[in-house]
Amino acid sequence: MRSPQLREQFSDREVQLLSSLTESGPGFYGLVGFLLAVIAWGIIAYSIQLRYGLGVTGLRDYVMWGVYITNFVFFIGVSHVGALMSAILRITGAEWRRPITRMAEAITFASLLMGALMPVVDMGRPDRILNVLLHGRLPSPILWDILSITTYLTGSTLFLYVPMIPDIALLRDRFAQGPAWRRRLYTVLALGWKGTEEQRHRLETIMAVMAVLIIPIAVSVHTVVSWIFGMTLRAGWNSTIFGPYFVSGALFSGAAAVVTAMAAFRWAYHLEDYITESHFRRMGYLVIALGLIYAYFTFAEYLTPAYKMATHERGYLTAVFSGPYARLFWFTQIVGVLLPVLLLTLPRISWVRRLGDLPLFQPRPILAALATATGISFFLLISRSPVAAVENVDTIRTVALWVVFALGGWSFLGLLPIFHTWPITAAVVASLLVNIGAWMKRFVIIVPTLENPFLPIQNVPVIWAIYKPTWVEWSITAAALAGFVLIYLLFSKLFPIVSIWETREAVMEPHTVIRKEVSDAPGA
Amino acid sequence: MRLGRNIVAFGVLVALMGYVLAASAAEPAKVILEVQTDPDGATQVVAKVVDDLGNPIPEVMINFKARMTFGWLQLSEASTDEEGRARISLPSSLRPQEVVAEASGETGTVQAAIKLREAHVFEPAVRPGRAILRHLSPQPGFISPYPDSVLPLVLGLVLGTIWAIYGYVIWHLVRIRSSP
Repeated sequence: MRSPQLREQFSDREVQLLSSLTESGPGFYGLVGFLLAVIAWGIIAYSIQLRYGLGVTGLRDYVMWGVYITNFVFFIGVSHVGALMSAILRITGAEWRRPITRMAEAITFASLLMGALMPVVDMGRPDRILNVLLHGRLPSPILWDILSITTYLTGSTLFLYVPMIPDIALLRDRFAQGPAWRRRLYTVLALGWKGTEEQRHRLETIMAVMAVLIIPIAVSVHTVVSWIFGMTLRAGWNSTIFGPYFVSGALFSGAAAVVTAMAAFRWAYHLEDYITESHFRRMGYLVIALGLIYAYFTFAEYLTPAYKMATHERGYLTAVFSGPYARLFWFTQIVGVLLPVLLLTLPRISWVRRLGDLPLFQPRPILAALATATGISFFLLISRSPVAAVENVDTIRTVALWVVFALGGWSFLGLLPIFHTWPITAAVVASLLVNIGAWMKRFVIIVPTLENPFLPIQNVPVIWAIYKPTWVEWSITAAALAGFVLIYLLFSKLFPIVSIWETREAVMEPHTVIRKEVSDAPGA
Repeated sequence: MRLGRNIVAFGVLVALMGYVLAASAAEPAKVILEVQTDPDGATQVVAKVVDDLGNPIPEVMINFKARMTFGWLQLSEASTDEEGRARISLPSSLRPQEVVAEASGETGTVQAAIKLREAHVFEPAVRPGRAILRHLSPQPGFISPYPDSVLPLVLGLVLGTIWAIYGYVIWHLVRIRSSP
């Protein structure tokens, strides 16, 4: 609701950029209610875990890291891009980044908070975190992780907060809506900003320092996360390129998360003038480039051990390539990497438009193919063939799977002209696929290795040897995801999600430098 | 005639008693364990199986087990020779706390145990020395509670620099607040 009072105090441009603070319809409250319900359910699940111990999860002696550590790696990965992308684009003077940097930085903040919680949940008793702090050993990568994540959280919070000061000062001076605590919050956080020459100079110094500093910190954080795995001798983890491999994967999934956030805010608050198709196109190029780098690292990471098939790695590699985790692994590669890159690339090609003229790619055949593929997939999911269990051969299921692939490929080709017409939709679909694939890939990195230790698993119940997450783990995972979205949502309710003073400068002069950006801050 | 029958019956009775006594005598009654250490450090474990009369029993299967730090380890099975002895050799790298030899007969199982060394329970506060860990660990540089001085130095330097810069940033923020 844009009140006349708001229009008196702010320009039309500012009113539009403040819409995330002022407009809260039933959709917003419904979403918040849903997220709170999911979080409450997760808290119930966690309380059960606290009471009865980790026995209520699928975690056992052999697979002691499962969904929780998958979440941890995923969230830390998503957090990567916010600060890193924003810093690189700031330093290189990429002007188009202005409307989206704060969104990216807020993603870093929210996902780091959720990611840091996950190891505490995985420990079972949360007080054990004190043991890591009190009795932690410096040679342990776990301790390195705690140190680096703490450092990164502090740095990214500063990096998010400092460029917000002029906007917070604007809200302090002119935003009269809302409760008194909100105005007090703005007053405290604005740090008495008046836009004097000295203040501008100091802000400029801080931003320059932080933009340079945050890059190595962000890279090191995910490298250290990878060392939790890479510093062991286990099959699948004993890799020299785990650091850059994790960093490339993190950048890929993080950039995709930014695209999703851009689309959500653009749609919810009508920010079409600020988050344009051009932003999606540029972010799409970034996702394509990062995706190709990630695909290269994946290829290098798996080819060398697969070529050698060392004895102790054979079980793990077989499980991933053709065993129980093969479908998940190939899904992450095809649906999580290849398909998004194609989705972002192909609609840019002119001949794609003409595909829509062919009879096979008309809406009806495509819908029929999609429906059939969905139906067969559902059948494959719910059916368990006893013949397959006995003879290890199931021709019908294999043929059905290939039929799904064929129908999926046909549908994909048929959807290309539609994505050509709506490139933003293509970017959003691609980014969602990237993030789903990214989460699954972390699962494939963690669990198959733990199920294939050096000494064969013996004298334990079958359920100890095969990891199957329980409803408790899924509930806590859903709560963590809901918590991430809720923090992000509440952040957008307290602060402008698109920087007002930075976009103002961009409108006035497209090729400006940081000094000029600051000089136009409120009070200048 | 009667005398002859009585003699035959007595003979059968004696033969039966002898058979029963012989059968019971072949049943393992005791296992005697001996340990010898070879010059190369290997340990020879010899189990001798005897019956109630102390006679050695050949061709009895002996099951050797060892108590390790983590629990019981199945070592090997060996059959006794004519002297009632079964042997196994333990390599010097295997340092069990206790070795047990089990001989199973028709009427039950007899066993003997011999302690090779005292079980040493580490107190939680006591850490094994660097030399021990270097010997045991495939990654002596990392799997050790005693880090080299270079690691704290590097970590301290890197983290110290970053947090010092944070301090510099916060100092600027404080100055922004106090700016007139």
